[in-house]
Amino acid sequence: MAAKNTLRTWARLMRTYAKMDALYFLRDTRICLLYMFSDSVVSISGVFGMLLLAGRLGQSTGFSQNELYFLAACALLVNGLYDLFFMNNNAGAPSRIIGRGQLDHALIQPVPLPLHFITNGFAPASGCGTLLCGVAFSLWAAARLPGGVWLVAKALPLLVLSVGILFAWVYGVSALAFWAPYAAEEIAPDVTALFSSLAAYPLEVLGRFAQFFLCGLLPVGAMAWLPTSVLLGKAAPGPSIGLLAATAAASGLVAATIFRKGLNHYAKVSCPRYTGFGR
Amino acid sequence: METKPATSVALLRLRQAVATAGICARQTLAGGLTQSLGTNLARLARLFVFCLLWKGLARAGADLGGMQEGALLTYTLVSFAFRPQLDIVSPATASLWEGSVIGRYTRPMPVYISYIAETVGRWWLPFFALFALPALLAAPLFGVSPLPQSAAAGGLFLCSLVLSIVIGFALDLIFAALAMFLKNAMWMATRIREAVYNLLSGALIPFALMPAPVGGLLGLLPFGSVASAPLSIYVGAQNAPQLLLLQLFWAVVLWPAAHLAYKKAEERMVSYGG
Repeated sequence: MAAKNTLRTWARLMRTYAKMDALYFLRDTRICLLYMFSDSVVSISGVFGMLLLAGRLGQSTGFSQNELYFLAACALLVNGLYDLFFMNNNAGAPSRIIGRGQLDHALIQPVPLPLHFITNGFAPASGCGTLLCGVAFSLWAAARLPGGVWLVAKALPLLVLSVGILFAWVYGVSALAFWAPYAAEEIAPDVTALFSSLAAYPLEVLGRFAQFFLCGLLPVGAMAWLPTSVLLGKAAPGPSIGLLAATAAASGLVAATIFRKGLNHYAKVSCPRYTGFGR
Repeated sequence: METKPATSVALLRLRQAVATAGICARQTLAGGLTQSLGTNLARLARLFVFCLLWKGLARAGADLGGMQEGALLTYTLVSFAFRPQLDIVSPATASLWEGSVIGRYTRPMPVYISYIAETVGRWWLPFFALFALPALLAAPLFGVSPLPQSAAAGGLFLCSLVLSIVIGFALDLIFAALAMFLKNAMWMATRIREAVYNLLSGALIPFALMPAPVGGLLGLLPFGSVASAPLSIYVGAQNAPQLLLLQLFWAVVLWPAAHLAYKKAEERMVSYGG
């Protein structure tokens, strides 16, 4: 019953935030389209390097040129999904909310905090630019591979796990802003930049230990490389999907623990952000 | 009416700039060294992974466009260590949406000098002390040489870096003018600038690794002169004189253009901030 109520609340909130985003789009369509364009350009620029390198590096990476395109497209899809669900209200950059002393705005909402965070960033209108580019690019890239465009559909469940890992890392690291509001206010964009700038590179050329490190401990390889390797038959599906799921679960658990500790700290000291240097 | 000699005005401006830079550096570091610890750790992680990838690719026999593994790693290291100089971001645009831009117009110094001094104080000095210097010193432990290809390359790099900074400030003013023009979409100007820099500068991926026509074309653009030129010279590019001449050309062309664009946009400046 509780789960059903939570699901109903989730759907209601998603509908509300979707409506608010659509209203923003309709109120100032020109500016909104410009923002969508600039967001798309920024995301594409993150994977563009890989596209330029694909021709030259080719087989030495363990991936063919077309497979490298698909890898870059999957990285773009992960960015697009993250933007779609967490772009608005700084939901994708919670260190700003915490560091600026705005968490109270979330705490006074009559919904549980996790539910608030996973819904209030939903931007189906203004946040879909990168995703549309990612879908178009991935369909184009997949069509050049033996699996065809169905590869994109197969990729989605794995990429949702990748988005979950990114979300967990952003929230876990952003929790530092509870203790250092001024210092850590802008740390969330650093984390997303770290992941998105490295997501499109093939890790095939690295040793086993480095691959494990970059898929488990600093999971930039779990963003696109690991899911793509599974889909293209370059990695054993069982262990690879297991590693992806385990990384997602561990990242979520660690992030939740750190965030909870941060909230406990916040309950005692609040956010002294706007006193001299946050002290 | 008595006018001050040019040298005393220049000295006054220098003193003002040094004082402003000092205030900004102290402001940035006033919260302690932890202030930028997270950002620097993320930066370090990126540098580390990039070096791992380049090493892996070189050892897998990838075609690196004629660059040696060592040169590629040094290129990447220096690109990270000199990022604030190779990607000039002054407070010109940020102060517009913060609403603090008016403060620059009340100071007894030209607004450009204020921007430059703030950039040096707020970002260059703390970045150098807390990231660049430790990274350059620690790099040999990870098999990455922080040294230029030769003493001459080091000297030419310094000349190129100065020109790169001059071009960078001009581009920054042009983007600030664009931000003024876009009014409440000024955040977009910074996003587009970030994308353009990532795509066109060659800071992350050397032009040598790109397909030859693309790399050649990008090398001729001003963004290529900002990052790729000094970095290529550092690792021993054979065409250093041409690169320096091209940088000089862009510096001479872009500064008057930036001044004109900024003055024109200044008339439309609206900044509420908060």
